[in-house]
Amino acid sequence: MVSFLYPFKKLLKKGLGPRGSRGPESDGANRPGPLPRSLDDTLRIVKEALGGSPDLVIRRISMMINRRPHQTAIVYIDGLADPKELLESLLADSGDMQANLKSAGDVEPLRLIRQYLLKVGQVNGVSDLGTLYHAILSGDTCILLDGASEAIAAGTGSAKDRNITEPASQAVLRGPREGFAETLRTNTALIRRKIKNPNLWMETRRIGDVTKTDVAIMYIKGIVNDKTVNEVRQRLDRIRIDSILESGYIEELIQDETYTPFPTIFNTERPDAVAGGLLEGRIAILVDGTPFVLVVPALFTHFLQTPEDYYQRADISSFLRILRYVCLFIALFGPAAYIAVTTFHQEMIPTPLLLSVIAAREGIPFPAFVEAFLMEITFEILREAGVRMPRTVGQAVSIVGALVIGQSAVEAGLVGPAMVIVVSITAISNFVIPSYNMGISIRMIRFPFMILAATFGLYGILIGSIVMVLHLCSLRSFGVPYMAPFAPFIVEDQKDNIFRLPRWAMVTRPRYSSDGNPVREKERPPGKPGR
Amino acid sequence: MIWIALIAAACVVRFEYVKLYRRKQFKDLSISACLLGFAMTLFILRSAGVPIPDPLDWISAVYKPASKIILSALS
Amino acid sequence: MIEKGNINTRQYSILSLLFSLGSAILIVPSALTSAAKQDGWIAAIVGVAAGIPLIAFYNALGARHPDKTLIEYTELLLGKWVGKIVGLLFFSYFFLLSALVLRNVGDFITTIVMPETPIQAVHLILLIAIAMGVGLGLEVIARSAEIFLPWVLLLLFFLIVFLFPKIEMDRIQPVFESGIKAILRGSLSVISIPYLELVVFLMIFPYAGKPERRGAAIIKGGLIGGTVLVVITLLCVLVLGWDFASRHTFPSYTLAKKIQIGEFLQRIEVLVAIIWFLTIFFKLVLCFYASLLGLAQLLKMNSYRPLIVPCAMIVLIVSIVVYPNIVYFRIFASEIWPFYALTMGFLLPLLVWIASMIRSTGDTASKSRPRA
Repeated sequence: MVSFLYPFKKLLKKGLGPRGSRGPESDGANRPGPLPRSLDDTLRIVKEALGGSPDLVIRRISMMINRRPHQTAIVYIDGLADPKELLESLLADSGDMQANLKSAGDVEPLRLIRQYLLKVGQVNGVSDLGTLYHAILSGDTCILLDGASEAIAAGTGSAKDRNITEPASQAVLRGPREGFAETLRTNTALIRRKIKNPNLWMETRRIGDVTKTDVAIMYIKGIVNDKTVNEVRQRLDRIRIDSILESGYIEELIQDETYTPFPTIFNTERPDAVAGGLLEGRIAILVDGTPFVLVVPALFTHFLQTPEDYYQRADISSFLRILRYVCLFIALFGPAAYIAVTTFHQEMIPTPLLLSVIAAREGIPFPAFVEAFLMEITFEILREAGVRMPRTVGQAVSIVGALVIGQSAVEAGLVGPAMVIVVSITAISNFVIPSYNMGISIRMIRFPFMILAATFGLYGILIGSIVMVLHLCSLRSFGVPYMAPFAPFIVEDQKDNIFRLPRWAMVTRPRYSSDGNPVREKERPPGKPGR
Repeated sequence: MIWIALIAAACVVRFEYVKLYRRKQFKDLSISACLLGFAMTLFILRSAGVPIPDPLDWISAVYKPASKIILSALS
Repeated sequence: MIEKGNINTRQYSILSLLFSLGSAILIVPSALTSAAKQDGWIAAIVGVAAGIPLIAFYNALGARHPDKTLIEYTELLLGKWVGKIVGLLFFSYFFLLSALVLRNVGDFITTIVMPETPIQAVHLILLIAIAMGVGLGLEVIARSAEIFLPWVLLLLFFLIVFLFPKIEMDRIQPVFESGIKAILRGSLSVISIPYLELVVFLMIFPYAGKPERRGAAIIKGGLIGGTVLVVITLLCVLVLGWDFASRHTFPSYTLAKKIQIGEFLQRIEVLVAIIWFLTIFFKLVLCFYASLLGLAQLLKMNSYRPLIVPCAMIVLIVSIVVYPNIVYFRIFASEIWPFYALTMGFLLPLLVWIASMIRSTGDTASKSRPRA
């Protein structure tokens, strides 16, 4: 009973996510305690905490330091860490290490190992159990010394990562064919390769009580608005959740409004899109384990732009952008307009076409709305099925399905051919929208418009669009009005809105995001650069 | 018609009045409740077919003489 | 301060443009041509010429109290009792305006576009959109106006351009046949719709950008709106002839019916109806907003939000009750409304202005205003 009402109660309070359902916390695994001095104790505790997991490798080594044998152990998780070099450096240099150093007097063993022996780059000290677990589970190799109060965590993480390939969901014709991979370090490196500027700053956090996922923010200091960065930091720090498996979790937890079908946070798999956003003064949020990077703040126009717009010539890009907006309208209003016109406003159709439409609709038992609704639902089913099917089967089934079902439906007299055309054009137009989450929103909003069209015709569509515009204008993404630069109309940002003016005109950054540094470059004479 | 009025009234009570009550803005709450009561009365009267007086009639009554004078001067 | 909204001067002029076009463009050409026959367009020009000083007067009044709305300083200037009564009169004016404009839309839709739909349903879904707009606040309304403006302008452009082939210049002759009295009578309708109704803007005056730019903005909007009115009336005379124009209830719609491009693009008047509809929507949302804000300020409430649904319901009923048929409305609009609007839109504000001058202290913008 309680769990049934819980989501409804949650709906009433707009929050940043479920608050502290502290999960498996009963064992000592998450209560940080100091590192026991005894090596055997430590090893026993670690083994117990990880549940005797077989991929936990413990290797005891006896090292000669200060002419005395010291018990040390190396702990790592097989598969996450690759301690080959580390083991070499610790085992091969046997014999008296102090003698190797040619120094008189005793050296503290830990310092010796840490400063002189390890052949790895990243070395940290660990003084409590919590950090020790996190280090082991992140792929570090931990070196424990009997009798020492600290352990050493050496960075040896080398989890096998996917090759850098073109992102499946966001391909371009011209432009880099790079896509993010699943490791945070790889992704930050990809962005750093595009912006080799010391002002590209990065901050990391660990979010998720159980998963302890690494999340990084990247921004270009001096271009970005500091207030926005603060806002992002605050929102991330306010998150209380047990797991972050994908950037979508973070997206939901930090977005401005929950009750809207429109996305207010942009996500992309392409490093060049992220770099472009950073250069405009926006902030990127990278989550370990997913190639989808969030870019914030995100406005309505961003979801209809692709990085390719900047690689092709200005006139081509402007044409394609206008095409995208046209397709937006078709995808949104297509079926609704068809229903409205055939049900209420038949006089608008030119007479010859009207005759054939009416003749086609003659034998159909359903009113236009039901016909449209059936076809749309069928198409959605086909589309979703096409995504999930194994690739070998998928192509054939979806083509056959669409053709056969469509054709047979028409011949069975269930739907009219005009309806099939309308539905197909609508669906194809939907794919023109570059951003998948905006595409889905449009798909969903289509249906209320169809209902409005069936009840009130074009008047209903008008009311629906007024309501939709009012809603869009009330949205904000991290403080920036969602519909900027349409409304409020910012004149100098129109150069990159529906059209894309040529390179010489792109002199300023978008006004909403770059209070710090609005001018991209020094004065450039317009016209051919060769003069 | 009256169903819509009832649903609207229920939504108002559920969403607005609870908020107002919690914030102890009783003046707002009472004014709104009075208006809501008045609106519901109008709806009920209308559904019952009782003719509701027309404000335009009152205005016409007030301005008819002036209108006659000025308009005849302009004919 | 109940309203925390903040709109810039461009949005202010866009709102005044859409407001002036509002229901005027639908009903006024008919009144103009029935009074002044083929000189209806001259009457329109006279009306606009009289309307601009009126707007300037509103500006002068508003500028004396740049951070208060009309109802706020009415009460301040005229004292507790008289001020509240005058404020209530203003409120009833705005409220009645909302109901009348709503009824205009309903009549238009049920007469022309969808005769079989009950008018209450048409009113109802429009009121839902209005309630949502008012609930979201002035900023959102202004931004939506910015988004819809290009569409209105585009459709107006198409309407005017595609009617050029159908113009017959001799329909405008003989010029000045009706005489000055008839022209003046006709101009009354333009003055009362929309210019005397622009007093509504004194309710959003304090929130509209820099005080020194507000005057120019609203005059720009009113002037452009008036020009469009003149052009549309002119087209009505030139394309339809004054006789038809005065008989139709919505002659500008009939204008759209005449558009014919080639063989296939005809009878697209419903698309042009979008212009009327969008402009009336903004007029209605502003009138309703002004009345809610005014009532909330009169009763010293914390916010106008609790009033939205009850007042919307009342408007719905009043809009149905307010006149039984279109004949009543036409007589009312041409004979009674100008005088009622004159009292509410000119005499009462004049009273307030005189009181303001007598007290001879206007708040200047330098006084900081308490923000809610």
